[in-house]
Amino acid sequence: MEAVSYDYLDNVVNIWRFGRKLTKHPYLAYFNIKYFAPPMIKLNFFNRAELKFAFESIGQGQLSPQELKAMYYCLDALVESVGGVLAAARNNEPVVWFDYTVPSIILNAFGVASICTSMVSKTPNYLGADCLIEHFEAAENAGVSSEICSMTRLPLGAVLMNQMPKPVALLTTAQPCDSGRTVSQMLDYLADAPSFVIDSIYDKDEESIGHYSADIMAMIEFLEKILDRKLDWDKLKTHVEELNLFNYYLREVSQMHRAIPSPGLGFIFLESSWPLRLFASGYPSATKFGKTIYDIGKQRITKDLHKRKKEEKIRVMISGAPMYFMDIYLWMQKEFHAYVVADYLVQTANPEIDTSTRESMIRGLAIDNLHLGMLRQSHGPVEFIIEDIENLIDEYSPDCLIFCGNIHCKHKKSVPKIINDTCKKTGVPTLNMSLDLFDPRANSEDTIKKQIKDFFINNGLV
Amino acid sequence: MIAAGCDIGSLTAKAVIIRDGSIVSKKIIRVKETALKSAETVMSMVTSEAGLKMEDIDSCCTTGYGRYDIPFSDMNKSQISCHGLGAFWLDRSIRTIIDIGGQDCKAVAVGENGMVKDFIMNEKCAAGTGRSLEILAKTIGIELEELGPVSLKSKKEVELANKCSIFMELDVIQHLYNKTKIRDIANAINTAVARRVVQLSKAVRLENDICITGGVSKNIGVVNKLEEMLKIKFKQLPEDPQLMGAMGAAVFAAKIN
Amino acid sequence: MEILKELETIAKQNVNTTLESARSNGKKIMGYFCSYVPEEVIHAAGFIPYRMRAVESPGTSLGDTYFAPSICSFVRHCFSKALNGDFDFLDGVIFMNGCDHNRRMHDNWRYAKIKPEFLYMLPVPHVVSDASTQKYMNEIKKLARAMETEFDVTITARALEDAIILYNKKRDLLTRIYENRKKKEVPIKGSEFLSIMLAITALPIDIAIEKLELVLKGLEGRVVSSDDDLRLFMAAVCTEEIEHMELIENSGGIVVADKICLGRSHFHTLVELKDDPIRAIAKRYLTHLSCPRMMDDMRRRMAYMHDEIKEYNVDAIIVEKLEFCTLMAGETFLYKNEAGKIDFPILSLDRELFGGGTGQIKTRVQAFFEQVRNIKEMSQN
Ligand code: SF4
Ligand code: SF4
Repeated sequence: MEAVSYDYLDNVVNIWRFGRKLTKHPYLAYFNIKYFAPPMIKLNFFNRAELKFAFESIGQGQLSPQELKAMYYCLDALVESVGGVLAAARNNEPVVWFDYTVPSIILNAFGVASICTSMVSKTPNYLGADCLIEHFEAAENAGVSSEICSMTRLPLGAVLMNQMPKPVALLTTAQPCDSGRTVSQMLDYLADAPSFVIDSIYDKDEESIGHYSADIMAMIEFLEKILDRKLDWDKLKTHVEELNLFNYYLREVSQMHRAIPSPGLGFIFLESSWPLRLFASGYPSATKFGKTIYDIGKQRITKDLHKRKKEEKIRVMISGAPMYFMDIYLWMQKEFHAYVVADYLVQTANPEIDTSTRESMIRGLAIDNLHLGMLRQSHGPVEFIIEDIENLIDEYSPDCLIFCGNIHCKHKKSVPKIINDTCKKTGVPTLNMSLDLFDPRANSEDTIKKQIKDFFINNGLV
Repeated sequence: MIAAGCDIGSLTAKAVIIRDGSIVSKKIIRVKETALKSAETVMSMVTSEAGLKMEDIDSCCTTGYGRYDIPFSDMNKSQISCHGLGAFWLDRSIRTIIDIGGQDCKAVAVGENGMVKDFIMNEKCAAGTGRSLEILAKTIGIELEELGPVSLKSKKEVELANKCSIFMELDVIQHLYNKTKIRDIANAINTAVARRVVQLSKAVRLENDICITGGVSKNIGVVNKLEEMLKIKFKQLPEDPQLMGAMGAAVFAAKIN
Repeated sequence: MEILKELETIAKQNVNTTLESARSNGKKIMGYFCSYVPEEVIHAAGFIPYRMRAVESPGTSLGDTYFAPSICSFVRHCFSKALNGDFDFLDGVIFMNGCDHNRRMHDNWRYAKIKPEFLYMLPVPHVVSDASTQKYMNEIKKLARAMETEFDVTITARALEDAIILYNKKRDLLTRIYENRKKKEVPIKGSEFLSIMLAITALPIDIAIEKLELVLKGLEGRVVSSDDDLRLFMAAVCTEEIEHMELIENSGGIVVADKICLGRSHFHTLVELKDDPIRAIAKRYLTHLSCPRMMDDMRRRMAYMHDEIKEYNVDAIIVEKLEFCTLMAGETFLYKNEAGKIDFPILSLDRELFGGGTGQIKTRVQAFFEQVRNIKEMSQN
């Protein structure tokens, strides 16, 4: 058989592996990073731009040894998940593609290698902004319109460059947006494998949850047929219990950030929990990640209150960080003592899933799924968006709001007045940044920094 | 047979007269108030240069945005076909034509008969056209004609968003604010425009040999960048590349392709 | 043909005289968006269904504070019309989740507190399955109940059945008119067909049927194509500009088959009245020639294109999207790839509704036609 190369994914997994090795001994790593960081930055990473991103993702020397320990678990889970997919592909074992809106924990319980197509959008990032651009250009050169939201468009680049292991099946949902819907069909077309679509629901009442759960059940039946094996429900239960624990820790950490001053875990918590949820739902290492940051948070929340109060001068609520400028949080901390306390996209409020019966478990997974950022706010009427913003402001007492978002997210772009009016009503200064979270061509790091700086100054926050 | 081609564009009008298979006169003028006026003016200039009268012309083909409703025109053809055929007629080896005009940019693939096999044209967005170069040149305070030569002196690569001309302009302003050298910004502008053109032209299968036509073909900076990015060398045309539309129209009129 | 002229006049109006006089006689009118809102149910509730449209729009500026510029022009036009009071003659509007742009109009409409008062969101499934049919039936029932409560009417099974018969009749007539385009000498232009569609979706059904019968009769012996016209298949979604279609056809082509919301999709597949009328309606609307919003039907849509190319002896495809229409962006990619597989000429247009820019479009279309003719000639040699 012809040897297949998945250069991008291979390189990403290698970077993760290296990061895992480095953070295995967090104290040593802490001193290493601290010691090597300044000269590396000065030398511009020996002109190897890709290192910058890998470096940013481990906090570029601003994370404590305990946080690095959490990072270790995160990287471990990611290596296991994506490394597993590459190994399966090379051994001719089945691989399933799924969209971020699909409860992937079921796939993990099936024991089948699976890769989140939309999360692949995040991975080129570890190889540098140029790599993101390569993916976009591959898609555009093949005739993919750049009016499709960048987050969903990016994986098409990976597929068109033959960088994705061929799937035996595709799973997707009909929500929350046109971009997702259209890209799923394009992926389906390109992969030409059987696919299953979980239908959208517009509401979150009992009836809607019922429909959603029924579709998840049907998806299980579909998978059983495709994979020619039964779902191991006991295994699913074990995974869901792990997920419950993971959710518990993350919920607690989320809520700790309501405190003034917050424990300041914004970067690691908000940036890592999203990939973990999608790539490693129900993995023990994901839970360990949760537990580690929970412990840090608990410790911090009571210690050095006075000192931290001085440190946290601005409380920021944000909506996602640009992929090509992941350390935006750390930069704000360093430059302005501005701490991200809430993230509209990543906030965790997922309730506990009842594992007592199969039905309760599936229902719980449906609800859990609907708590995912974007899905939560955008699958229904605008009230869902408004409630979310108002609640977060209410609970997390931010001093300002920074909306990032994607240029072609039609949800945000079709209700700008309603969102602006809502923010105005709350009286919290708001910055609507014109940038794209995934496409570095639309904005550079420098312009983002300038926008934020001007915003802080103009609103008397610094 | 005496045939005329008349190309009425958005900024300039051009005309070419062919007599028995060879060019006898050609002319480029700035456009007048109306398409008809431009056509009449450029045609009267080109005929008198050839020592002819309008009545002497056996067949006339118009092209360009003002190609319709010209009373002396016997047919009209799209700019795309005309640019393709014009360049091909001058050099029969040519199979791809990249044309960057004032308000659009197109890549045209022609077959062995010089007729369009495939083409792509930019959508409404101006990025990658003469118009965006003009705006950006103005932003950095130099003349459009200087953009090419100035950019050649650049020593440092700087990045520019290449999504659309508005983003480009914002980025250029940011560079000015950061005191980046004008020559480096000029270079970045040419690179960004060239990159757009490359992206566009990838949609047609680029075949050798390639030539470049239209106003922007006179910007050495963009031309160099394009050659570098596409890893090709443009073929030099024996006539002013800006005349290709009118040339192709004349060939259509003479039916000698 | 006189009747076509009459229909064209209606097509270019926001409100026509027939609607106005029906209204002054106490008849109620219900606006709806998209091909997934069942007209039969609206009719059975005693309303005249009126398909929402952008024609005669005052421009998009009024709606521009509510929608960013990167939202589809169809939606921005419609909402500006609403703000302008152009839809005040309606007694209600039924929205559906056809696309995000359109779906959010429901939010903005409510927020702006403009007329009419009855604004209803009908969520329609994005997949075809037994479960989704059941779900859609529930939604139709909820819609029916909402109308019954709000307007104090009753929707009986009998009324639904009658409506099904009427609307099936309309579908049948439209199909027969459409199929006339198979002929070598085409009796009706694409632009005329679009006029018919716009007109009959703004007329009471009985009048629409009368007009369609007249059209069908008038087609006998009529020829509007010339021998060297290129026969075109056109795929688009919310296209309603007659002038634009004329521009294409005046460049040397004739649209003989389509996959347009206000085209084949509107009348494809009859309602099969076997048992419960609501079930029959739900089934038809979910399984008719689908729009790109339907996620598990893409292969059938592509097969439809291939069939139409053969049956209607098509020379070239034009696929058109309105700027920022995400769904059509993906669909264009599929069409292009499918056409590529059989080396079939395809042109994609991207434009704003009533947005001008005709110079560029003309050039593009003309060059495309020149290309198609050249390829045809070369292959004949
Ligand atoms: S940002 Fe908006 S358009 Fe993009 S994936 Fe999320 S919901 Fe869809
Ligand atoms: S053209 Fe596209 S975006 Fe616009 S309303 Fe229709 S489906 Fe929606």
